[in-house]
Amino acid sequence: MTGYYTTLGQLVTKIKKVHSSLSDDDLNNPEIIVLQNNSDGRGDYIAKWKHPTLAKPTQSQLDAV
Amino acid sequence: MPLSRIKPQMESSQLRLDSSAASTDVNDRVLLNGVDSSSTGDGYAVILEDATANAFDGGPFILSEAPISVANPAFRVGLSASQNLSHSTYTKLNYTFVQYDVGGYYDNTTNYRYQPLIAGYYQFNAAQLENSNLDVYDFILAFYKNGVSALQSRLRISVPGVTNEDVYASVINLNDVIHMNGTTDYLEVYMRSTSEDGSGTMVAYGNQETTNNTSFSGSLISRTS
Repeated sequence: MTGYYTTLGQLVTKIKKVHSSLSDDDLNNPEIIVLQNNSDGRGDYIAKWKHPTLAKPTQSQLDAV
Repeated sequence: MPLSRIKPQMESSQLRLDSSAASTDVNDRVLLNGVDSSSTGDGYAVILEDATANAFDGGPFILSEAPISVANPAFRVGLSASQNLSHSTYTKLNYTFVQYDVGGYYDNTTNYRYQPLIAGYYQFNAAQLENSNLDVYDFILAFYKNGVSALQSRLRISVPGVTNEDVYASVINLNDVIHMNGTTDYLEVYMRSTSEDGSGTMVAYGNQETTNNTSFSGSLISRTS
């Protein structure tokens, strides 16, 4: 499971860097990808990833960008 | 039997429960037992015993604890101040301002959720103003029941060849009737905003003085226990 990011916008920015081909339509389709923050202080995380061709970013991929 | 005929036969403590707690008492609402001299049933006026002859806890009646007097809970809360969100990320709205909360089931300090202790069907409503002046073209407000999306309302504009679309300052509403089990079920409100710019800090408008642009409310409409 990928981790949490407390800086606003950090997770979505990293995901776009890992998958530069990811379209906004896919990113913003809640049936495909859901980024979530439960306002519990832990931050943003990937709650759902069902992209048909792009794999869910690994923690190491996210850490590297 | 008319109460006028019963009353002369009743002395103090004549209406009492059978403290023997036999299983044959199951489903007895009020048990008159003239031979029961025990005082252990004192304090219970009307009781429904379960199969183990214990006091029945259910619905608005928790006889093993101090009674809950609220029969029809209702609440309305809002954002005291604007809340920042990550771009394109479902984020729980932390309503801290409580306009009213009959029953006290809304948690406005820790989990920011409504968790009623009376089972039934509840009418829930939410309204939220999008306050990110960042070419927002996709705006979602959602009910999450027990941490899972239950209903979403969405405002999205995408016109081919047109840029800088913006739903800034728009308000969307969310309404549904949802069953709550009266014990563990809870409801929260999440919001997601997406900017054409692909990044930026998104803003859910909040102001304790003007909750007409931000609210989460609900009330019990039909009890099921």
